Amino acid sequence: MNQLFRNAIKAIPFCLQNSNVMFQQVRSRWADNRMIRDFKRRQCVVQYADERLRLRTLLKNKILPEAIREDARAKIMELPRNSHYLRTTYRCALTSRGRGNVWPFRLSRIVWRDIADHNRISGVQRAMW
Amino acid sequence: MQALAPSKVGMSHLKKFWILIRTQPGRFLSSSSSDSSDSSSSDSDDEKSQPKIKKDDKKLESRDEPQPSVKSADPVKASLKLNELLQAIIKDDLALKAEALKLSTATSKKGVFKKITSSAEYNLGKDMADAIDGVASISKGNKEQVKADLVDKVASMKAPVIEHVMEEPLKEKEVPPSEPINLSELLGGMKVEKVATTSKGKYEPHSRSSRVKALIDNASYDEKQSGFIRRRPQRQFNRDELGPSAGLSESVPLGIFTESAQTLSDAKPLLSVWDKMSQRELRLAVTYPPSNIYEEMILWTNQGKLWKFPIDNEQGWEEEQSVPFSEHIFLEKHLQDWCPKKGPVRHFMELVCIGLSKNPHFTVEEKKAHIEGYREYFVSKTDTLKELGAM
Repeated sequence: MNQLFRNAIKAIPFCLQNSNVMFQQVRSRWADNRMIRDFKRRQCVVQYADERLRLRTLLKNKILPEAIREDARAKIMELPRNSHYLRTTYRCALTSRGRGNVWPFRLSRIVWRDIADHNRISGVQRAMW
Repeated sequence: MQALAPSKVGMSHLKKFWILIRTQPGRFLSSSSSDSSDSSSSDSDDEKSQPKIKKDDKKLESRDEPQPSVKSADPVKASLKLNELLQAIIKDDLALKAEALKLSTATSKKGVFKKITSSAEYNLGKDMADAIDGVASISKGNKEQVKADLVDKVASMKAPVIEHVMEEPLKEKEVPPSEPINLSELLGGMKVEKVATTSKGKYEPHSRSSRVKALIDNASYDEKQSGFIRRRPQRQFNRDELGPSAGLSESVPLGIFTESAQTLSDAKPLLSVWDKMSQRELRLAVTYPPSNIYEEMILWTNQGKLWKFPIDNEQGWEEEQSVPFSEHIFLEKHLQDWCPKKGPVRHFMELVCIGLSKNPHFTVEEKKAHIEGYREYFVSKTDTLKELGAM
């Protein structure tokens, strides 16, 4: 997080790094902080994916003794919350909109429509029948 | 809605017609006066002519109303006078306009630069020369200038080198020659000054390879024309420029450093970052960012970001082609060492193996890693399992 903050500061011109006033728009890969947080959650999910999968199978099976299953449950609870895939959101890649996204294109419906109207999405045409 | 607005030409025509009618009312009046005397007779001819004349009368009446004085006086003389006045006005207008154009303009006191090519360089041809002479003679302006311009234009089509000639400043009262000048005569007496077309110090490499060569050879060129990498031109010191010597070899040595300098030079400082940056610089000297979208797409395809055509669903899994399917399916050999041959653990692990064998998305290494993970877990739980009687 600290590293991210430092990197963000570097984007600002040097003369303004210590000042309160920022005249220039800072452009980075992320549209807003929610996007950054979502990205970090996804990184966490990837990191703990295998471990979580194994523990889940141990937890959900009915062959192994119950002690094992309880142990597995406890261990899953210990894992970080962000390692759960349901905590991620499918955000728009350009505007970071959380709702109303066209999932295969990773864009919000508004952006998708705008780009499609300008004929920049391959294979997309105005519907007419 | 009319496509065309009522044209001004039409209106002017109407106005002209109107003026003409006004200036020549006598004609109609005389006819009407003649008919009025014969109004009693009712011949067919008269009838035909009468309505016409009557119409004209009406016209006259409507127009003459604003100027009753004209009607009262002798109409023919008045009309002629009017006509003359109008024509005089028009003449005055034209005269004024002509006078307005005769304003004095400022003459240039500097020499006039004429781009004239010498006949020695190339031959325009007699036909061309004659044509130019003819045009210059017809033209109203400075015939010399016209000729020179024409020659220049024709020349620019043919020869690459342009020679600039400095002419003496034109005197105000200089009269252009009346006879058409021969080209050879005109150019024979002129002094010619050659000026190079390309400006100095301009280095424009036409191909990438030459640019790269220049960079690598450390060729010196203007900083303005430098490419992505800027190199300072290497300065070469002459013996004379160094100035007075420091005097290192004059005094007696102290004897502190007995070892020769050659032994020290072997130990090179480890500049890992420097080496990396120099290698990066070399790579950048050779590679360029894509110049167009096609090159960019080629780059992406090579990086694996774009689909290659024809589409292969297993793009990016080239290594997997060499792995035999038996390694994917027969995973029980990994259970041999550690897993008990009976019991819930074995049952569980066999199910795991079946599941993994049916999974096409994992690589063999990932499957092995999963089985290893289970092994580690069970090894850590051997105590509890033994108590429970599972292991």
